[in-house]
Amino acid sequence: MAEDVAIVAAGQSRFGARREGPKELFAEAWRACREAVDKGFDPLLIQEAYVGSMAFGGYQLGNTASLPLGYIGLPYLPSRRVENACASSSFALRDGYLAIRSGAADVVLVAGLEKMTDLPTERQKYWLGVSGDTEWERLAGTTFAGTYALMALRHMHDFGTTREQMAAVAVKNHRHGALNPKAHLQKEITLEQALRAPMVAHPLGLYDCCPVSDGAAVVLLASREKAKRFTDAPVWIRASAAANDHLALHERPSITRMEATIRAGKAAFHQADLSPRDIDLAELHDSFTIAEIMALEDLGFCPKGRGGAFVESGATQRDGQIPVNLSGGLKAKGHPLGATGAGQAVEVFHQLRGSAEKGRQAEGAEVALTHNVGGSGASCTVHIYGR
Amino acid sequence: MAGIEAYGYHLPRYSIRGKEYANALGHFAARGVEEKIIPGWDEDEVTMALEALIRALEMAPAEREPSILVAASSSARRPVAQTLAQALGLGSTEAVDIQGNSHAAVEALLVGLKAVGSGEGRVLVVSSDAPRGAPDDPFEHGLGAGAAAFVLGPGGGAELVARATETTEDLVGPHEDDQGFLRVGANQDAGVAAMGRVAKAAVGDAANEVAGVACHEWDGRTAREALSSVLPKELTEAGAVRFAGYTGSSSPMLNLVVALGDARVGQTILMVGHGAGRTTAVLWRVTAKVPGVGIVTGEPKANRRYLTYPEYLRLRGALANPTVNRQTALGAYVPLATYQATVGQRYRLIGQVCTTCNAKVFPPKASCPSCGGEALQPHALDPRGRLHSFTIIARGAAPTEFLEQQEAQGEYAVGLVQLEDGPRITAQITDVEPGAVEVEMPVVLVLRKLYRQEGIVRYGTKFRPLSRDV
Repeated sequence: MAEDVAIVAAGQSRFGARREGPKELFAEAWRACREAVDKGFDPLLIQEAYVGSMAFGGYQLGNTASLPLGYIGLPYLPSRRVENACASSSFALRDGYLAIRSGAADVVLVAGLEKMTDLPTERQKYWLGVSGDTEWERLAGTTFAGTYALMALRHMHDFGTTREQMAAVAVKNHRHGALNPKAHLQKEITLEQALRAPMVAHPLGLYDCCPVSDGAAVVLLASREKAKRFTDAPVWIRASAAANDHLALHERPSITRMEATIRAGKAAFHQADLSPRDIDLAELHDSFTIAEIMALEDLGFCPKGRGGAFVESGATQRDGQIPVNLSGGLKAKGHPLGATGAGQAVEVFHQLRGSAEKGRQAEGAEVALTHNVGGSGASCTVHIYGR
Repeated sequence: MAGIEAYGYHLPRYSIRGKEYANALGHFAARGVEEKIIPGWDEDEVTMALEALIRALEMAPAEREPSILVAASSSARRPVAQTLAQALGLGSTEAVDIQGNSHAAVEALLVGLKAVGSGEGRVLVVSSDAPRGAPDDPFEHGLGAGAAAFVLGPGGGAELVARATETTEDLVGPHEDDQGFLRVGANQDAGVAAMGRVAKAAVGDAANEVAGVACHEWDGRTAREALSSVLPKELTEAGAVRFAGYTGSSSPMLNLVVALGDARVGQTILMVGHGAGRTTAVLWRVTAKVPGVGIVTGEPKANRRYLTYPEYLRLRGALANPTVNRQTALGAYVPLATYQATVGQRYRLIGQVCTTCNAKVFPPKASCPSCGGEALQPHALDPRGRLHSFTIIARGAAPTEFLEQQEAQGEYAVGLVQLEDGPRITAQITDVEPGAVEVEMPVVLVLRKLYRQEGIVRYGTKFRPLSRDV
């Protein structure tokens, strides 16, 4: 089971406020993925395609996957849009993994794609809010910043988490993003800048929130038999797990943890027969700084309520106990909603093969974990990878 | 005998002092008015009337539904009574609107008393007004807002003992122009004279029994000018208009609330209403202390928020950005039919109770989240709760539908409310400065305006601090 499905190639577009449209971004990611194939590659070997996307501002909600795949010359490939808000392409990764595990396919294309910055502000806000409970959360006047702010405030109330600890997440992720040529924001920030920034939804300020980004990422999966056609250094998916939760925050018994993360995490560690201390690096879902802190607790990297202190101690720096978001995370690398999950897999592919940029490459990493959340926690995947 | 069994009122918490106008404009034109009241952005005639009714009904709980609910307003232009009946869960009560002039409330009281006298049982009468004027019109200076409600019934402690009415066809009172701004009427002197005449007719020889006055007031001089020939000077001083401004049909009603609060058994209260060519005086005798919450005049409550003139203009919407297209992307879009179907949930917290394990459920579901059982019955949840968490939504974090609210009133607080009955709900916290909101703060349900969509005002669930002194 541990070596049934491999990532044999992966690549992404630069994330950011791009002039290019969704098709061009997809092509950019596709080219990057093909260039990462060690041996020769024939696209006609691909049997299924799973494209994670919220569907770029609503103007291609129907038959979304056909559009980019036709553009890159694979119009007849069986494909579909996979959607679970910000976890769309990690659920696409899971679907691709399941297709190969089931024996129905040997080579699968997994992708994520999002175009958001060409929308007017009002429409952007709409798309940033569709993944919440419209009837009961949106009508109260909140978008996601508000929902995560409710979690953050209670976390501060219950555990003494501070704004400084949350800001430390942003500072760390910006430092990594500055070294990542594919990142949206490639500039470091200081703790003071983060704390002085205008409030968005108290207690979250501007630097507690990830940016709105465009981008695409493509990951090529293969079965054990077919993997060696592409590379002698595949990255195996040792575990794929997922869980959901109530859509609305007010339906959940606790708002200071994400049940979906806890369940998916437990299932993934069980599948891989590993524990948090076996993980060499992690890409966690930091749509808001508090989310990275909660993920550290919910995945068992630190005790419940101690996430803020854990970050403050330096444990999640590159030379720390568990490097987190060496890519820059959602905060600095960017968050093109549907592409983020696949983007995390691209990062892991490079980190475990030693091909990430100097300064943000984890030394001797063998086992990695990705954590991707939809919206405010209604869906979540956890994947564990190994060499 | 038919009379007033209980009363209540609602005054929005936002005020502006006359001297703010004077500082900004060089003068304040409303004579004898010290300050006046403006509704919060999420308040209107419906929400103010509902709060007044709830407070009145708290004073006189009853088992049977009232037979009639009459809602009066000089400023409302859409159905009010039906929304009130829905919000109070009055399925079999006749809901009637009397709108369009400031005499409406006195008419409502008289019609209500007649119905009670004919054996109809209880009648609810409420008035609510929020007149709006043009920013460059001196008449605008004194326009205020408020609501008052009365429960009429066969056992009322304040009974009608005399009345007199006059109709004058050529009187033009305050009226709305084409843009909906209220403009001053012509011939106010004739109106004042008519008020004097009906007052004299109603009081007759018993002027010395009159202990309180509930006069329609355009400004602080109206009562004096109208009644100085009928009653002693100390009874004709400015009433609620001094701190509430001109409140249309609610003007004599709010003054009646003040008078009932002060009156002793055996005393009479003279009420005078005026509007659209009709003038009526009603003499009430207090036969028993009428339950109600009196208006505290004089000292402002801790929760009252005084605005500067720019803040006032902004709240009135005079500074709204007309170029923002609010219809391009509805971040909180819920189709009209879906919304109407959930009105019971939003107005009255109608959720469910699980008949298997007794857990309360909200919003309604197909199966009980506690035990999985499917035997769920409708149940109105307790409207009180505590804040489990909250946030303050600044610019950029609000769905598009709430931009208008932010432009008028700035940041707003959203809370995750832990209801007494168990479930939690996400809702705005209103009637309080966002900076004063705290975790674990006790709150209670209120009905307030959410936004306007597809031409219809969406009313919905919000919470306010339980203590009105916050």
